[in-house]
Amino acid sequence: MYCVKCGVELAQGEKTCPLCGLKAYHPELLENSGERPYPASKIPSYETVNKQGLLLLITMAFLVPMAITILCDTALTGGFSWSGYVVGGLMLAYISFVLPYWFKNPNPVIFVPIFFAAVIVYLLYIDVKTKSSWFLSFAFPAVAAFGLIITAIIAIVRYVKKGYWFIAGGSILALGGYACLIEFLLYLTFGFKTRFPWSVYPLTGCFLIGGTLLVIAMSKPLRRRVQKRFFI
Amino acid sequence: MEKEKQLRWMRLDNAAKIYPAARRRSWNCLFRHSATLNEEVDVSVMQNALEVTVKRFPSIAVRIKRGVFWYYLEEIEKAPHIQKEFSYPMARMSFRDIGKCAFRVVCYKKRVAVEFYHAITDGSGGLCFLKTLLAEYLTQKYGISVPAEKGVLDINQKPSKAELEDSFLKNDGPVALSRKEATAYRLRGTLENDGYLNLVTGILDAEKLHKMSKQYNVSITTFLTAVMIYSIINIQNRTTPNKKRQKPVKVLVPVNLRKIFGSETLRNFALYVTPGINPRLGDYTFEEIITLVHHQMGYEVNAKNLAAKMAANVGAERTFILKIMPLFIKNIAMKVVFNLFGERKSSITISNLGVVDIPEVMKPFIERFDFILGEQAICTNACSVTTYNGKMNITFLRTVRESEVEREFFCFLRKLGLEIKVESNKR
Repeated sequence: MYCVKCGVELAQGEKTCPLCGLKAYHPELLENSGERPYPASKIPSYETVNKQGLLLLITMAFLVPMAITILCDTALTGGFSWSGYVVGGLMLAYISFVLPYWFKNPNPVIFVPIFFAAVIVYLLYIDVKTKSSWFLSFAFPAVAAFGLIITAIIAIVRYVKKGYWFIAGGSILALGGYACLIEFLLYLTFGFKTRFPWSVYPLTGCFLIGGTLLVIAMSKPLRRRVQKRFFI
Repeated sequence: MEKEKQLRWMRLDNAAKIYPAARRRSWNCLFRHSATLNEEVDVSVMQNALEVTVKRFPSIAVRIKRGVFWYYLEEIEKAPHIQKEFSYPMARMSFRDIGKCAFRVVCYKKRVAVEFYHAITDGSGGLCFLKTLLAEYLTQKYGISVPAEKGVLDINQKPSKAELEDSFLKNDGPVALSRKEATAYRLRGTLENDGYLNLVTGILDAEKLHKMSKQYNVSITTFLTAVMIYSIINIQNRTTPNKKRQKPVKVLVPVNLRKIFGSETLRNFALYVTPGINPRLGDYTFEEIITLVHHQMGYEVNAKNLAAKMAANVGAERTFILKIMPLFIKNIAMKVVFNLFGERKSSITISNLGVVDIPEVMKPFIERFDFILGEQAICTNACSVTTYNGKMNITFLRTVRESEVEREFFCFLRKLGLEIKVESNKR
């Protein structure tokens, strides 16, 4: 069989012309079948960059300053005082930025809550160490609620894979609600009180934006119009 | 420890030194010779033949090791196992593999192929290895006796000194020629994301092509080089229509130095010339290109000029400061030089192996020879040519999806009136 575009003869087994990609076809000739010069489905797999080696190096880069800080602290103050903050901060950074990469396909639905849990633990440590009492009434609910919202958004985006307008509208509404929660918690713990509650502003803004998005999400013609105007 | 002492070792030859230094994580310079037999290859017989053959080639049956100042070749104790073919030739060979054995033998149906790391030998040396391997295979399988001629070596003979010498060090000229050259146009394309290598082979009648090149009074290599330049100019005219921004189109043509300098070495002994034209000067016709290429080749391919080119390379190797630099510093320096100059001075490589001749008794058993130049570091395409039994195989290997170069090339040959049959490993 010949390629009608390039005029070259095609070897047995060529389904398309290797030069121009035109399909080798003739209504009165049988399909061009035959042995290919190379086995079709044997593609070698290559070793990529060794991730673990790099991670080990990064881990060392975290461990060394930790050890130095603890040594300095014990040498200077004879105990374990300020180095706790440094070590905790480093550990927090490690858990949030390095730990997920030890796994093959890190799932954000698992690692984002872990990050928030680590933040909570770190805050608890600071609270205990400074002998304050803001943890239970402020830090814990504030961080936990934020973590919950973010995790929920990530989980929905990851597993539902549609209804992005609803997700966007819903998350903005949730953030508006979160502003109110923060104001309430501030009042509860520290007694902050303004004449006019400030959280009304973000709440109104979020309500307007989130509400608009939800309306767009529900109305198909509107959605189409928005997409037509705002495509990139 | 004692065993290690007995293993033969040798320095890398002058041309080989760049390859281990220029390597990348995903790239090592390879080339491949293959022969298609008239029936399916018997792998166990081939393995036996390989065991015997490697003993005859102490400069090819080697692995590459690190010294403090240079890499060196070390004899392998045992022949490597024959491997299976992948969907494309010259699947990556990591430097770790090269540290175990610097070549591999691959069998697929009727075809046996040997893929060499370029630091151990060049096209001629590799072909000699394949021919001897085939002769040994045919002897073991069919009991024929193959005379030691036409590139088949006598398996019972001891390797001579001339076969193992570094001919560059013997034949360099008194004065070094500058290596300065203009940067050439670079072909581009969409890289295959999984490293797939696309292969297109055009098979044509060698006699007709020979006649055609004789019409222009030039050699086949010159003719093909001119066709290639013409094709790449067309591509550049499409990608860069503005003449003022166009770059010279040059083709790297390896030159086998054995005949010119009368050497028998089985190690690297080739240099290259880069004929080309500058499209900024105007539109060239095919006839003009052929004339230019012919004269450029005539000017460059002669013993004096090549010896001077050699002197530049050998001179660098002999510099005392470079010699005593630790290997890792040397590698960095050589890599920088390679990246800056190595492949940027030519648009593509055409390696013409010439006519493959084998002893008469072997001919009925062997249908076809192929020669494929491996993936290059920067250049997206490589072209290699070999002729056997009146058929010429022009093979293009590319790392990108677009088959632009081969299309221009073969369509132009087609327009000149040559019949071409193409085959590929297109997925």
